[in-house]
Amino acid sequence: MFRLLYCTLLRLHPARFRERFSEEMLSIFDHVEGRRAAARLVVDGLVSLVRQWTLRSGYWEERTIERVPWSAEGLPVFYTLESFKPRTSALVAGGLLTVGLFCVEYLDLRYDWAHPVFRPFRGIQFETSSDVETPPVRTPRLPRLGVAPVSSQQETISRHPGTKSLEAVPSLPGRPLPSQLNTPTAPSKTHRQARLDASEPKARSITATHLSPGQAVVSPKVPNLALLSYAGAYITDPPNEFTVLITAEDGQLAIEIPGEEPKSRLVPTVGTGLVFSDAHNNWIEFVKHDDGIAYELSIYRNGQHFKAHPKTRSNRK
Amino acid sequence: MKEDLSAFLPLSPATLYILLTLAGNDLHGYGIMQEVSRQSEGQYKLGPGTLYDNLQKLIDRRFVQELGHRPGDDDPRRRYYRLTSLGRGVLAADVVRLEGVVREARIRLQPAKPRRA
Repeated sequence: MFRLLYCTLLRLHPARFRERFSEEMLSIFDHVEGRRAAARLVVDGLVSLVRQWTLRSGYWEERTIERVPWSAEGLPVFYTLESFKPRTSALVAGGLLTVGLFCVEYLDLRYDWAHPVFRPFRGIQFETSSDVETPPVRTPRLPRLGVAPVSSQQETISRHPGTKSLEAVPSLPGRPLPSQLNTPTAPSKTHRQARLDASEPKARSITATHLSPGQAVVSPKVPNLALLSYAGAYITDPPNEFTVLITAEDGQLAIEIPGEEPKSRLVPTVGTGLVFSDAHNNWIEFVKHDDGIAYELSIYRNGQHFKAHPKTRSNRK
Repeated sequence: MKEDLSAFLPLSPATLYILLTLAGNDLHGYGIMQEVSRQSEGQYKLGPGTLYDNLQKLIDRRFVQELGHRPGDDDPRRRYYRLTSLGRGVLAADVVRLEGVVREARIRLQPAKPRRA
């Protein structure tokens, strides 16, 4: 058993050392008597194995160079990697480089302001501005089929009442964005009243127009109430109590924390989150009832999570 | 031109014993091990791994010459080694160095003589 182990250790030595000395070392092993002496030689072989691979790298390096064959023109034609082992310095340098790259990547993911999770999704556009007029989009004229033109009529399509996510409208190429939420809503209207209006099924509607052939499509103006349903003052739960103001301006929501955070526009991201346009590490998320009214606001700010609720008379100080 | 041998000094105990062993006769590896054990009166035991690692270095430095197999030997796997003149010179230089060490040690280790008042 010791002999087999010793042979294995000898085979694991660098090729040059093994070819030159393994026979003699095995000869010595065969001459010793006693298990104790044999065990001592096995230990010696193990130490030698470590020594040869770590301290005597010259054996295999020379061997590698010797094995490069040469063509008739004196150029190396084939480079064998048998018994090849990178230099110790190369291994150390590679290890340090790997650790360095790992640290850089970690710091990049940890502190990068444009975190991929909060990066706005370009395929989704938030509701269009209520103040900016959408230019009329003309559809191509349809061929006349001898049918009397149908007069324009409007049909009301109710929204799904149980929706809990923000209304993000996919922007498809060649197709006008639905402007169901464009509105000339009076800015003087209180947010509270706006939320009440938004809860009415009649107001929360999307208009679609059936057109007669050849008729130009003009984006209808509908109240931008969905945005206003989020607007209002929120107050965070104790112990870190502060007021958060959500406003709807130019068709976009904005957030302001009086005395702490200046007004920042909110950009919708993938999912139901809204990220601060000025600080992408900060974002919020509305939690709504089935009727669409937001009853809770989750704020993720500077690595901390706050929960806020609409400011009512009961919690108003 | 005389080669500067001081660059090779001091020799390690293993190298010193191997050169000292080969200074008398051409020996194979197992013979070197036995002779080292005999010269050191069993205090220094050389394993095959250490022996051939040192022999490789000594061959590369041309202190030792490999003679190959000898016909008629008990074990045909054995190879013999011989001390070269360069190796002999290095060994002699190290012995001189050791003599100086021994001389200095004897002086310093002498019992201090009592001074007259």
